[in-house]
Order: sequence, then structure tokens, then C-alpha cells
Amino acid sequence: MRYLDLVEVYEEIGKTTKRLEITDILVNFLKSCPPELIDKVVYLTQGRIYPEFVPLELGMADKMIIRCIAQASAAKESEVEQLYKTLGDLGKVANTMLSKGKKQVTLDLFSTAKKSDQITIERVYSDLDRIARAQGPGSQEEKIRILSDLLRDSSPKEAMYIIRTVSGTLRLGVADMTILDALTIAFTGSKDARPDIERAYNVSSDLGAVAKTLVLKGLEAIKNFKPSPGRPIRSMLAERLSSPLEILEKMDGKCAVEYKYDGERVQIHKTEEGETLLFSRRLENITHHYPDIARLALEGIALKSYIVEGEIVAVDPDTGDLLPFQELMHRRRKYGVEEAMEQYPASLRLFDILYADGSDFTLKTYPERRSFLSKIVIESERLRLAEQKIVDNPDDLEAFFQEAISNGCEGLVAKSLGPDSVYKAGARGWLWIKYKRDYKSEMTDTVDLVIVGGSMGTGKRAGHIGTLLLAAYDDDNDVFRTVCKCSTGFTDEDIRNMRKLLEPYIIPHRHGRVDSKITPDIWVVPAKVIEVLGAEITLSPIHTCGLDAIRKGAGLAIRFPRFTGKWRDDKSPEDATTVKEIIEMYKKQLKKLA
Amino acid sequence: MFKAVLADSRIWRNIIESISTLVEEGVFIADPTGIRLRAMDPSRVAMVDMELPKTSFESYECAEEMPIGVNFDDMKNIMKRAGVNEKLELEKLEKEARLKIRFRGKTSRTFSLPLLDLGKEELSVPRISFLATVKLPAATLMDAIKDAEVVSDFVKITAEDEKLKVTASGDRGEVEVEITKDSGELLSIELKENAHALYSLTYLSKMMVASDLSDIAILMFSTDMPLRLDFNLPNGGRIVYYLAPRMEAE
Repeated sequence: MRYLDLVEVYEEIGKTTKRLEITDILVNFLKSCPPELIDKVVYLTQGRIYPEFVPLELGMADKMIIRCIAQASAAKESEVEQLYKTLGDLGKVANTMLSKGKKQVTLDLFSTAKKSDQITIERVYSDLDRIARAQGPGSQEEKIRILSDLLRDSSPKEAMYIIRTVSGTLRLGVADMTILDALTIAFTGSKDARPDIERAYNVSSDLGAVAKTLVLKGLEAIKNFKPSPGRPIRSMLAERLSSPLEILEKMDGKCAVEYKYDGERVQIHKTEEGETLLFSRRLENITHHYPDIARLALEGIALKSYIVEGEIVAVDPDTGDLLPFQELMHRRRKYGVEEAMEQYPASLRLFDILYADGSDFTLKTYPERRSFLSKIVIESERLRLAEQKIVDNPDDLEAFFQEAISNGCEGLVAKSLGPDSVYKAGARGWLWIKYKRDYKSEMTDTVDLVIVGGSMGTGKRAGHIGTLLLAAYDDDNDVFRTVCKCSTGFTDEDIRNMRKLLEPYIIPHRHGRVDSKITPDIWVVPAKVIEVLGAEITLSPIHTCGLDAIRKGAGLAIRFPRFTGKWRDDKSPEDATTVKEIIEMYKKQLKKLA
Repeated sequence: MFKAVLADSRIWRNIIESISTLVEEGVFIADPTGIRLRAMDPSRVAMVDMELPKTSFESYECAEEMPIGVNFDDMKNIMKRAGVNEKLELEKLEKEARLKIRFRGKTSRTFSLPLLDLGKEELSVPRISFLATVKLPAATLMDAIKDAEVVSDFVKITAEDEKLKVTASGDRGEVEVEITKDSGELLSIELKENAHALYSLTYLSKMMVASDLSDIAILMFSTDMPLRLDFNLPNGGRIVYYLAPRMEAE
């Protein structure tokens, strides 16, 4: 099939923004496609050559594309670069350069039987495929050679769309859902089968495979489309509400609530062949970034093949505390994954299972899935199920929410327990409702806090005091009220000397002027003051600073506190930041969250 | 086994330079009649076709066809060491993946070049009946190319009325070079028809490297067809280049 036919479709689509018109254009085109070409055409319409989850990229930087255009038009690279600066679109640059009426042709044109026939979709696809697969030494030259040859054989207009595809800038604005509409109409004649076709897409994330199955094997095969390890399932998404009461109303009075971790959502697949694959929420293959997570799953899930879902979280190896999401972003790198793995160890909190040893779990209810998951996961320090609780009243829900926040989570996800609580791949619905904070109080200033207790560390800090219980001063009542547990910011030396430093102040019981719901390993007399910077101030069910001041039953806590390195020996405990000041800071810096 | 002796090692140096200007790697074929090589540049715009018959050598031994795949940069670097009045010996044993390159002058210096196992692509030269065949001093053609390079990166070559015209135009200006029989610079011109075509100057100037081997260049071309440029070596053998034209986009 001529590539020009596809180019004409691109051009027609470019002229309209109406979804129905786009659908019509696609329907006519898809009907005219040879069946064996249909998946390729679908990918090309999306401006790609494989589904998202295939970890192959064309890997051609602008600079390389410019060189190809220069070679194909026998111009200097500097000339092409200059034009790119003016036009800002490499596709248009290719179009202009090749239209200049002095195209460099190859000798092939004159020697063998090979003629420059019009280029076909097959040729374009197979050339792009070869470009994506070229790897290793010499692959850059190989990629450049294939693309410049292809450009030489193309008309200027064809070259424009080839270049846009290669540079990932086709941007036709054709939604996946529009392609699904078009496939349904083109190959079933009506819209009735749309839900079946959409479901096939949602459990496979592969429009090309869905199209090919539909055309070659028919609607029955589509209806039997099952999740299959290796092909990511499009993530189920949650709606959002901002009060426990509303959530419980939507959930008919009772639901499960799970910690919403501040991490990276991941879908973990183990294929029949024993390969473990990790996919991000956006279905990219991220296996390479998290070899440790793959290992955790491999060791901790007692199934031959499976698809599970969870959250990758960063955990402080010394304290076991959850760290902010940003820490994980250090892991998204191409090189040095092993070092990053040691520096930023990741843990896994699983919350769903979608496929197990040949059975499709997406059609089972949430309670069935969760209970099966708990049976097949062998929990360890780093691999656990997401914290979960069944609640039937707003107070319990709110308390669990605040516990989640003070444990470093974003909030909660409420999940329906009903008979219809299946896993709705690719859909946002009310079966899941997220409950996040509407407001956030970011800390910009440091605070000076009093050490009132300490707990033993783990890992590298085993045998040492690794965490300090810190308090603010309540000058109205002359007591110290706890506001956070702090374990980051200390040097190894600080930790080694901690016991010696606190020794004179250690007492066997809570000090009379300390108000605390938490019981640390050791108690100390309020004496030492340290400077601390936190990420924000949050409501907390476990700290006593500012209890009831903002909300009944909740105190205030400093989230992600970090010792700045300053021992405020110049300050007496009564000079520490006061409870009133912390309440003021909370109110003043409160910002509405998007 | 293959063993050949050239009286002047610089001939081989120039041949290697004339090939390496277009291609990085290639396969010489040595057979009982001589050595030849045909290779296309990576973007398939130009081709070099070299032959050096047995008779060009002082002595030549080769019982059967033998491919000798080389990296031209590496060979060029060895050949840069060729001295004045030095003979060159090339030797390859049947089973060895190395070529011995020996310079014999006051001393005997032997380099050993690892050979490449390159797949053999059967290249055929473009079969074209050329409308124009022009013979001219290589230096004259070189000057015309250098003139054109001042204003553009491609050139129009025209043969008409017993004249060769080399013209170029670009943002930097225009130039026209006329070479006629009267001036003595046009040694011969045969025209079946008037002809003109556009060619890349980048490639043409690369090909002029071979003018070190021959004072005379033979230029053949047709309208919108490849150009052929021949350099005949004084002791037999030749370097032939083919260059695809630049054409109007359809």
C-alpha cells in the first residue's frame, strides 16, 4: 500500500478538529488497508511504530535527523540547521530541503533493476523498524544511512511525515478512543461491539494487536481477549472526594481504605517464561530502573505467572521511614542503576492482583482480589501489602487518613467492597476514590526543637540512637509537646556520639513536663535544642503539639523533618520554637492544593 | 598465496588515497590477472572502480582469486610511511588474515595489516551510454571545481558546441568557467548530443584526489545521468569514479 495514501489521511485529519469527521476519515482508510498491514497502520496513525510498552525507540536525536536531511538533499548540515531555526519543525525542513529542485539521487537508481517506485507503507514501517532495532557500535551510522536512503526515495511531502514520525512530533491529535471508534465501525459495521473492543484494548494496551485480531480473527476473538503477562493492563484510576462523609456515602456506608503512598505506581508482570517486567502508570517499561523491585517480586510472590499492581516507595534504610517521592526519581536514570539502587533503596507495597497463573482476576471483586493477594505474597521488610483497613464511619476514616499522612503518604484510596468492584482497566470511576489533602502547609523556615526522647536505629545505625523525639515549647502551660520524630540530617559521627551526648539527661520515665502519646526507647530531660527543617506541617493523630487547635483530635506534626546540623546549645529549652508559633506557621503557609 | 612487487611504493599510496576518499572499508580482489576493487560510498551516491593489471607490477604471483578486505584509514596510515625510491611488496599467505606490506629501500620495513572479513556485495557499474566524453588536463578540471566551490556546493556541467562549461551559483555569487579547444586545455570532446547535469562539489573534489596519479582526466556524462571520471595510470591500470547527479524533485 502506498505511503502516500497514509499521508493523505494525515493531511485530511490535520484539517479538522471534529472527532466525528476524524472517525469517518479513519473508517474509510482502515477499510481499504490490507489486513496484514492493519496493526502497522494503527501504530503509524498514533505517530509511533510499536505500542508504548515496547522498550524500543527510534533513538534519533535532532542532530542525526538534520544530518539525514542534509545527506538526502546533498546540502550542508549548517544550511539545514539554519532552516530548522527558522521553521522550528524538522518535518517542514525536510519538505523544503527536498523541494529545492536539486535532490541528490543514488547510483542505485541507474545500475540495477531497483527503481524508485513510490514508497510503500511496508517500506516505511520496515525501515523505521530497522532504525529502532539498530544497536551497538556503528548503529548511529546505520540509522542515518537507512533514514537518508528513505528520504532520498520520498517525495517532499512524504519526507515531512516520515521525519515527524521519527522525531516524535506527528501530533495528529487522534485519541486512542477515536481509533477504537473507527475500528469498531470499520470492521463490525455498527457501534454495538465498542465495549468489547475497548476492553480488549484496556487489558492489552496494544491498539495494533486489537486491530489485527479484529480483522483477522473476528469479534469472537476480541471477546475472548484476556490479560497476558508481558502486555501491560491500562491502569484503573480513582475519582476524588475531599471528605470522609462524602466518600462513605458513595460507598454505601462501608469501604476499604488503603494508604496512598507517595511513590511510583507500578505494574509487575511475570511471564510464563519466567521473565519479570515492570511498567509505569503510563505503560512505559521501567524494568531497567528497578532490578531490586523485580527481585523482590520474584522472591516474594508465590505464583508461576502473574500481574500485580503496587507502589514503589523510597524507604530510609536507617529508620524504615518512608521518604518523599523525589528520592525515587534518582532511580530513573539510564546509567549507574546499580549505584542508585544502593543509595536509594526501594521497597514495594502491593495493592492489587490482575492475573494469576492463567486466570483473569480483573473480573473478580476487590475483596476477592485483595484476599488472594494476601495469600500469595510472602511479606518481608521491603515487600508488603499496602496498609489497609475496612471502615464504616467518617471518624475512623479520618483517623486512618491522618495516620497515613504522618507516615509520609499522600492520603488514602477508598475502594468499593461491592459485588461490582471489578478492576476497570483504563477507566476512572467511583469504585475507587482518592482522599488527598486539600491544603498543604509548606515549611520555609527552620524551627528549634527540644529533644525529649530517642529510639534505637536499624541497619547501619543498629545499636545507636537513630531517631530523636522532638518537641515544641508550650509557654502557656510550661510543657513540651511532641511534633516529630527526626532521623535524617545526622552524620555518622553525630549518631555515634548521640548516646554520650544524651547520657547526662537520660531518665527511666517520661519527664513530667513532656506531653507525648508516643513512647520512645529512651526518655530524656528536655535540655538539648536542635535546628530542624521540615517539608511541611501536617495534621497528626499521634503528636501533641497544637492538639485540637486546628481540628478536634488532631495535633500538628512536621513532615520529613531534617536536622540542619546546628546544635542550638545557645538556647535553653524554653527558648525553643513555641507551640503557638507552629500553629501560626501552619495557618500562614496553608495553601490550597490543586 | 599472493605476492606482488611495485617499483614505486608511492603509486600504491596514491591509489589507497583515491579509494579512502570515498569509502572506509573494502575488498580488493587479487586474481591471476591483477588486483581490482569496486566500492560504493556509504550514502551510495558515488562509486570507485579500480584496476591494476599484473603488468603494472614488477613481479606478480597469484594462483587463484583471493579477497583482501581492508580498512582504508589503517592502510592509508601505513602507506604514508612510503619513502622516495622505495619499492613496495604486498604479500598474503593463504591462511593468514593479514597482509604484509614491505617497503624496500635502504632498509626493509615490513608492516602487517589485519584484514577484515567483509561480506562481498556484488556491485555492478551503472550501464549508461554517455552523450559527452571530454578529455582535459586534471589540473584544469581541478581549477574549475575550486572556482565553483567559492560560490556553491554543487555545480552544473554542460557540454555543447565543442565547449565544456562549468557553472555554479548560490547565495555567495555566481561563476562560469569555459574550457575550449582553442585554449589547448580541452584535449578532446565527443558529443552525441548536448548534455548538462548537476553534481555535488563535495564528491567531485574528493574524487580529484586521484589526479595525483594521472595528469589527464576523462569526463563522461549525460543529461541528468551519473558522471564518470577516469584517471588512467601511466604504467597501466585505472581509477574510475561514478557520481550520481542531483535532480529536480518530482
